[in-house]
Amino acid sequence: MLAVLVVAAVILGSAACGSSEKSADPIKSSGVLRVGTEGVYSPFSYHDPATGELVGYDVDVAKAVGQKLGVKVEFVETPWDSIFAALEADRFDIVANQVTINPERQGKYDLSQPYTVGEGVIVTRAGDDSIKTLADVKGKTAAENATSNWSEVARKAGATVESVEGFTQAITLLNQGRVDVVINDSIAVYAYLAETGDKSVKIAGTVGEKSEQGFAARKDSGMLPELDKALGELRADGTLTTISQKYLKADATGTPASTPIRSSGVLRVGTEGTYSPFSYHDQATGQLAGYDVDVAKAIAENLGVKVEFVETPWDSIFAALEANRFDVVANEVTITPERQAKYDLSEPYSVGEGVIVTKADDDSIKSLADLKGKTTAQSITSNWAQVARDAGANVESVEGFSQAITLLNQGRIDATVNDSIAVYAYLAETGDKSIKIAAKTAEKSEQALAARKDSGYLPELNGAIDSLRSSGKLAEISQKYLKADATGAGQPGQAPQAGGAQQNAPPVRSAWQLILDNLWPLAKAAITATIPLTIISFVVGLVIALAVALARLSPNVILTNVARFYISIIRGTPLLVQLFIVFYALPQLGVKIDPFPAAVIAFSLNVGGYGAEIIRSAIQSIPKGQWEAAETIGFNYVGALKRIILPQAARVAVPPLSNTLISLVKDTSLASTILVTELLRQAQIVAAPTFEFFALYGTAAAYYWVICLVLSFGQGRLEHRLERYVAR
Amino acid sequence: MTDPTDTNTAGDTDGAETDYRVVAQGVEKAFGDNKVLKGVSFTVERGTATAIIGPSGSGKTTLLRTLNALDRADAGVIRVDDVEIDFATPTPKPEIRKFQSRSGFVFQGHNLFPHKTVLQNIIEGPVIVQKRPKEEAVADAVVLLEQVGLAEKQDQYPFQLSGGQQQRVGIARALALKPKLVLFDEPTSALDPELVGEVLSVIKDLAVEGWTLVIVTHEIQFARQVSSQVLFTDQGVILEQGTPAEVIGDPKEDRTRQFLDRILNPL
Repeated sequence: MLAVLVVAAVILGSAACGSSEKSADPIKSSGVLRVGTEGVYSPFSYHDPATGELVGYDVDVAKAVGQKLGVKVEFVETPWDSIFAALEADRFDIVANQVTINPERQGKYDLSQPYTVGEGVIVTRAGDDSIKTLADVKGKTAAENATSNWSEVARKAGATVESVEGFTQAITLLNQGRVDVVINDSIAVYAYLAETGDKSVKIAGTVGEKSEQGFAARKDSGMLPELDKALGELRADGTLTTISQKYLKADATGTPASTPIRSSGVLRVGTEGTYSPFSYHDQATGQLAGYDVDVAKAIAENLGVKVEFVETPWDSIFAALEANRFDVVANEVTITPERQAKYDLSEPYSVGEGVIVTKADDDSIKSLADLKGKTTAQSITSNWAQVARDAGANVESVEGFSQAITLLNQGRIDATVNDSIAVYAYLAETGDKSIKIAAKTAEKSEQALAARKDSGYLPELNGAIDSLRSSGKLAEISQKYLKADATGAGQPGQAPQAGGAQQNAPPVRSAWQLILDNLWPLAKAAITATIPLTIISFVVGLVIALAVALARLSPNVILTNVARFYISIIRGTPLLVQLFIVFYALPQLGVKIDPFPAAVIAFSLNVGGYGAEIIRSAIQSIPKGQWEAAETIGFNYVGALKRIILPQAARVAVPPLSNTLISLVKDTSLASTILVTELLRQAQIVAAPTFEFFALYGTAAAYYWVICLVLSFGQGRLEHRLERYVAR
Repeated sequence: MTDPTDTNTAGDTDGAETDYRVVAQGVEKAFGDNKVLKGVSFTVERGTATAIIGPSGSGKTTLLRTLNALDRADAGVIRVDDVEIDFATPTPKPEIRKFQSRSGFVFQGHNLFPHKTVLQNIIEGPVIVQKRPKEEAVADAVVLLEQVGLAEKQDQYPFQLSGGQQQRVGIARALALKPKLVLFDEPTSALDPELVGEVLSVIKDLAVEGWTLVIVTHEIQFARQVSSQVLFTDQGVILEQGTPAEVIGDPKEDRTRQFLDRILNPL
């Protein structure tokens, strides 16, 4: 009895508390936040076609608010036209559906602080030039949500307003030509364009008013303090921006523009390092220099951050970008629709036109059409390769422009298509008279920095480029390297006066001098990269090989098959592919390994596969009687293996394992493709701007040969030592 | 030369033991469908030499190898010295090792370790497996090498020795572990005829010194001189056993007679 009274008192007490402090945390105390939303307003509130789940910017923001408040979130899907009626009827607590804050609503509802900020834009069909401002809307037909404030804007501007269910329907009507215009929030429109890639509609103008969207609750609900506090926290900790980026591909939270580059303090720039005059090593100083390099430096300076360059071959530069090896590519990346779809491309910082280069005495090519049936050399991932292919040419894949010019001079190809800027720069720098510009491809090219999609870097990058352009710094860098203003500000692609540039060209060194100057840099690359890479990979590889060989010989069927499978994979796939998988593919699974360790892993696994078979056959070549004799003097398996079998097997295995080691020395040159500056890559870096391929690759070859000679000598000594117990 | 019985425990002075060093009962062994041993039982007395003779394929080598568990019997109980194993039930590896440690084995093809010198071959077991001090093991090895007449060969590699010398090193290696029983698998079959004598005389000396030996051999005269017991195996069973005088001198079974006749009068 007493217990019942106490319980009743507690209930009454808490009920009294709840009513007397009405404004104190009504959401938290109810334990649930009921959210009304449209469910058909992509990307703010819609059902994911894949999962069928309710998702969207507003949905996720509501969820995040619920999480902040520690309450459950329940969604009630309600058509927009009746959503406020349902709110009044207490079907839910708040509306989360891009409710734009306006005085009328503020009078009738509790409106939270805004969680998106946009401006009204006028959307028309892409081909429609009749509408440029809000005034032009007069007499046209618009499709709008009946109760949205855009509907009011359109009506006031003198348009006939067709009432539709949502933005998607409005755009559909526009595309079908049933209406002329849709006025909506910029956020919704940008999200739509980003999501669908729709090119049939465009933003024709703005309506000049900002719009802020917040949650709506019933008047005097007492919920605003909780909602505003939660939104404030979500804004502060970046959750709001993250959700915005997810659905809108932009920060539409009204937070001051984010500055990811400035906040990281460093701009990591991927560049080829072998593409003169844009990105190359200065012959005199060995320093990385070039137009793109200096532009990247100037941008970093403008942003007040450090700049770090990562040299990467062009063919793998985008893979490395995706793998987050650096933040942007500065390597004359031409703006194309494909790239625009895959990457964040900045404003262009150089503008040129495509030209066809042939030998000076070749008159057979006078236009793009003449390329049909000819052979050209192009970087395989460059857009010039596509231009040449479309013209009917055979395309040879090369590493860069200088290699293409070399092939042209050697008569191995008929032409190369490239940007006028690159070609003029080459002509100016080398004074090469054996080639000429035979024709133009009629297409302009604009080059820009490339970042990963949705990097959020573009505002900072574009701001910096704009300021470099207006200060004249960009033109200055262009003059320095290209002897022309190729920034798109002046006359893009204008031919500089060949010859006049010669005076500034660096002094030309003889091939012998070049070899002499590079003996030490090449040796250093061999000592710091090639040799350690070989030794570490071989030692680790041998350990793997022994383990795999023993697994292969074990009576355990599972172990045997695992070992067989491993050997089969390693021997059945190219080493280069294995390297690429470790370096470029694993980052997509979240495993990012630095270049050197990545090379060690790939080479070790490779040596492990081949070595396993050598060691297995060597062990099997030891007579069974040796195992038996070891057993009769008391050895177990490991003891017999260690003391009796392996020492004898070693003698059999040394010649084939030496082969593997010597192959490995040369195979390490493949690491040049994954950013390891080993012997070959060092030679490439020096050879590219100087065009002295024979001298430098010859020197590199000589170094490899010397290393292998030393190893062969070591092999001879070792074999001699191991044969001391064998009858000769 | 020191008396070898002083440096090993093979002598018959240990009165606490039974009279039998080997007791084998119902030993069976098959390789796939081929039943090689079909229930073999016999005993070997301490300090005696037993010769196993019989036609090839009769199971005599397999029988010898089961005594060292180089071939594990499928069934049967074998006791060697103080270790008894019932092969019909699974036996843990350490127990098998203990069993194996009681006997030394001399192979037909010697199976010396080619990458080790004569001395290293002999001390490998004592030093690495038995963890005896190296100096002690070397001293013992030198004594053993003198015993088999190869004192001056200790630093040579096996390939530098003749077949007979190699086999004598093999015997020394087996003895170095101080086993209770020494097993010989046709120790002279792989040798040139003129080298057979030196090996047999070493074995004969061991018998005289009181080692317990089991010898698979085709040398009938040698078996007659050295052994106190002869086992004649045929088709997986011991067809006849007894003293040399009984089995070789006066065989009861036709099969035994035919075999001896073929061996003693090959033409």
